[in-house]
Amino acid sequence: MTEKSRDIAREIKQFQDKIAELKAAIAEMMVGQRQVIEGVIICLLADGQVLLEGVPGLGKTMLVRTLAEALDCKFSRVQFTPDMMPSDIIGTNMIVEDEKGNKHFEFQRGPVFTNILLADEINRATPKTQAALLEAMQEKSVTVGTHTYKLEAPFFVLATQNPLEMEGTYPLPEAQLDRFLFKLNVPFPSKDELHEIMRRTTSTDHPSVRRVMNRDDILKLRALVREVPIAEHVADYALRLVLGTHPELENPNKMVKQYLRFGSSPRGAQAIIMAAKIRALMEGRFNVANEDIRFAAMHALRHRCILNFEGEAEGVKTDDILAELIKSTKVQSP
Amino acid sequence: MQLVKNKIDAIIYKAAWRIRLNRLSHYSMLALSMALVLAALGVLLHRAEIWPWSFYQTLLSAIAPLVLLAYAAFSRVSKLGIAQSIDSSQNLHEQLSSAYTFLQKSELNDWETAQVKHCATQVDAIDLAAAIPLTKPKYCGFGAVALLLFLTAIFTPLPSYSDIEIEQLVTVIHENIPEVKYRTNIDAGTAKLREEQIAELVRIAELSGDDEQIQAARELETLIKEDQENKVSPEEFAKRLKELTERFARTPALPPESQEKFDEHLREAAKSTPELQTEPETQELAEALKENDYDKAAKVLEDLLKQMEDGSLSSEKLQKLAKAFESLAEKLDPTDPQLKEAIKRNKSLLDTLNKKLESGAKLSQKEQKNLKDAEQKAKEMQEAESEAKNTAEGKALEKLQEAFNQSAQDMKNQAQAQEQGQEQEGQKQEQGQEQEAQKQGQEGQEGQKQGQEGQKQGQEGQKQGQEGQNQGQEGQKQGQEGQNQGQEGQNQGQEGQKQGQDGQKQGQDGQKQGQEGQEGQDQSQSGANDAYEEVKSKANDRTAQENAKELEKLAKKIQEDAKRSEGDEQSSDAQQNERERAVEDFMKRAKGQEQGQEQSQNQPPDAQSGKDQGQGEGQGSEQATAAMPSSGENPGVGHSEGEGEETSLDANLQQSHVQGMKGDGPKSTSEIIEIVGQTGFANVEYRDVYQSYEEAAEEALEKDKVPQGYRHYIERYFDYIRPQN
Repeated sequence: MTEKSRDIAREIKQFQDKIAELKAAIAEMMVGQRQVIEGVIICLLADGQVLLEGVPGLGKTMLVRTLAEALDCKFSRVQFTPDMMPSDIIGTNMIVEDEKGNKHFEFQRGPVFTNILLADEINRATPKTQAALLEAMQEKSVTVGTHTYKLEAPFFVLATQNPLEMEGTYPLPEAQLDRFLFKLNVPFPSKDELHEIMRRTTSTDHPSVRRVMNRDDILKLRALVREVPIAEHVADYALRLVLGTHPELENPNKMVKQYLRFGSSPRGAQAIIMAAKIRALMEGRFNVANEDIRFAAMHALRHRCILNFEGEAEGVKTDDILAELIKSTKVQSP
Repeated sequence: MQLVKNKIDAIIYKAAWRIRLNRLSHYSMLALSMALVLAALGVLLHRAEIWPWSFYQTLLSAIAPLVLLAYAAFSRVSKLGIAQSIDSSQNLHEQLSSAYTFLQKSELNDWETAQVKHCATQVDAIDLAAAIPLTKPKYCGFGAVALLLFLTAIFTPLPSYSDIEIEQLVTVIHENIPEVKYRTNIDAGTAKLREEQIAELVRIAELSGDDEQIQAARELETLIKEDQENKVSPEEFAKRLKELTERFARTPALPPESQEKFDEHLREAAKSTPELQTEPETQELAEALKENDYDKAAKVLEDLLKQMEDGSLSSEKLQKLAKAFESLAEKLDPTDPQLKEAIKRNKSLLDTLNKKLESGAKLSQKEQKNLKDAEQKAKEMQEAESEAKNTAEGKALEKLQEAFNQSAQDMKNQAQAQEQGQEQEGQKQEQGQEQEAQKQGQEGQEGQKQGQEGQKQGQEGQKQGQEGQNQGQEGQKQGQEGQNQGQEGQNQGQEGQKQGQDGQKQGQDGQKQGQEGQEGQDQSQSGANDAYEEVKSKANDRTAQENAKELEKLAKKIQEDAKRSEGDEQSSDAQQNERERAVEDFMKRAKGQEQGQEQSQNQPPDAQSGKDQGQGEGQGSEQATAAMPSSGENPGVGHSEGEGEETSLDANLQQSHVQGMKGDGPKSTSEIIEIVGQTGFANVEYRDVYQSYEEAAEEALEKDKVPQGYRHYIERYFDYIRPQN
């Protein structure tokens, strides 16, 4: 055991303070949606991407815009449409004439070259355009022709999709869905929250968002969360949950066996552990607890489990299956 | 850091003991309950005098509870599990269990150290009594039931039954046992047929004298009878039949190797008996024995027997035959001739030495040694002789030898009786001459009467034997002569009466001698019959194996009968259902047709009374046909469109007439008698033609494609008409 002068408790405290400050800044603009805000922050700190799903008008775009403003980062917003091309996102080579009149190709950067990218209604773009985001989301780089451009850290994609208007949309393929750390369902606000929204948006008040964090702060916090220790039996619990989503393995849960076609990929386990660490820190704890795993599991696995025909036909939600799985999986290892 | 570690370990250790205590209390209750149940069981068994109670048995019943207690006290408790339980109950968010896990590592990083230290600060606040409370033992309900059971077992008085009550109970139980009646495994007709076939095979088996085969055949007979009385279940029937089949398969009259030795010995005996070559009958017998053709030998002996019964064999021939039989019997001795000779020599030596010893003479050392050796050899030889006789073929040969000896003796007796009979005849002839002289004096009616009496007596003598018959004829002759001469004078008639009485007396004597002769003849015939039966039985021995095969075949047939009978029973329901379906189907179709016809009749008048009536009828039948496929549920739909096309009626009617011819038809009894009168009755016996017919039928069954079911009936038909004895 190495004795250093490092004060972990203080670092945790600072982390908590920063997150509290960020939450407060967002809350100045956003009413309610605490779980969604927490999930978005967790994805930001875990260096992952987030997919927000909800009906129009729930403040998805506003949340992202507010977050970008509070973080003092570059922000781009892309409204996806069916006629959008990949070059519209990543950029293109253009012929440029210099002062001497010589013409040459110059790469014109697209909106992807930013810190926070809002991909609004991502499921309206064609798969080709959706795929253009794949490399950027996973590798944090963009390749045009033979040249690869590194994206500036932090690079955080927030995609939104509307579950209602499915006509003329292109559902995201499994490979692309797997790139999202969390899929967060944006719920309809409660009556009180709705009342507050009405009050804020229909008066003369125009609140502005404070900048509470910059790029460096984000990177520091990202480094810190990776240090949070996790005990073997807690990690084992997370793995058992991930394995439990596979209907083909031994003794699957009844619902899993009946309604799931495919279970989560290993990325699901990584996402759970990372998210659980961040949540533990946010709660001011030194270690990851089982409840952190349970919290993360729901958001990290819901888009990674693919329903079978029976599940689709009966309108079963993956959330129900996961809730049942979490309930039936014992905390203590057998 | 060590202090922190100790602190965490201590809390887990304390918690572990609390868990053990809890576990011990639970298992103690369970063990106690189990012990009580076992004890209650033991007490019950002891009181019912089924199981004597002892210390060791008490110990035995305590083993299971003790094992449980040992498990509770010493089984491993997972410390991580305890830490997790404390975390869970104290809402520590896995701090204690994580700290315990980190402390198991050799080196901790800053974060882990910080986590462990932070956890240590929380440990003091842990309330173990709340985290792991001492609970009241589980299984209390089970314990209470066990205790109740135990007390019940001890204090409940056992019911006591006197012997009479038990007997009554047993009687009641026996009376109430329902009588089980099984269905028969084979039908009554087949059973009857099989019984007759078995009876025939039993008779053959009895001739062969194979007791085991006879017994098995009789058991088969009994089995079929019991089956017909519904006393045998199908399983038992199949089992017993299988056993019997196996027994038939392994019951040869003589083992094959013994049969071979027997045959060889008999061949050698026939070859080495020159006396058999003297007479044509014995020559034939010798040839048959040389070829081991026992059927032929039996035939020869049967002929001889008949000849003896007829009295057609002369005493001289009988003597020769007896000699030949004696000689053959001697050769049939199963003992080795050399061994026999050696026994004779040895006996002679022993007699000499013993006589010498009895006379008081001292034996030299060599003689003493010879005596001992001779005694030893005699013993060994006797053993060898006994061994040779004790073999299966030895016994058979000995039996045959005895039969031939007896036969020879009987022949001798008959020959002697014949000789005596001839002497009697001579005497009678002399007496006849005397009577002739006296008869000349006989006269009148009395003489005639007396003569008639003599004739009567002579006839009686004739009836009682050959000799008596001869004498009777003489008497008759004398009587007739007396009758002729009787008219010459009454005085002489009185004398004739007297002499006639003498003749009567002599006739009685002749009758007596005739009876004696006949008895002698009977005896000789019975002895010869023994020989015949014995040889026949040897022939049957040869056929006994075939007989066993026949029985085995028959047993297998019965098995097939039983299977078929079972199949018939099962299929009968199916056939019944099929019949019902067919009837129902027919009724439905009939209904459909009916409806169709009705429909056609209900057509508009213009359809029926069109230009021609033929069209209306034609539609009617068409609708009826259309209604048939729908099984008559829906009535046929008639054409009601009005007039259809004109039906052409240009068909030419052609009347044809077939000239019938009267056939023969079955013949009446009077016709049969008439035919018989013209052609005569069949002159070939049914028994003789049956064999050829059966063979032809079997050949046809082999060659032609006859369905399996019919094949059985054909076979059974021939079984039924098989000629019986």
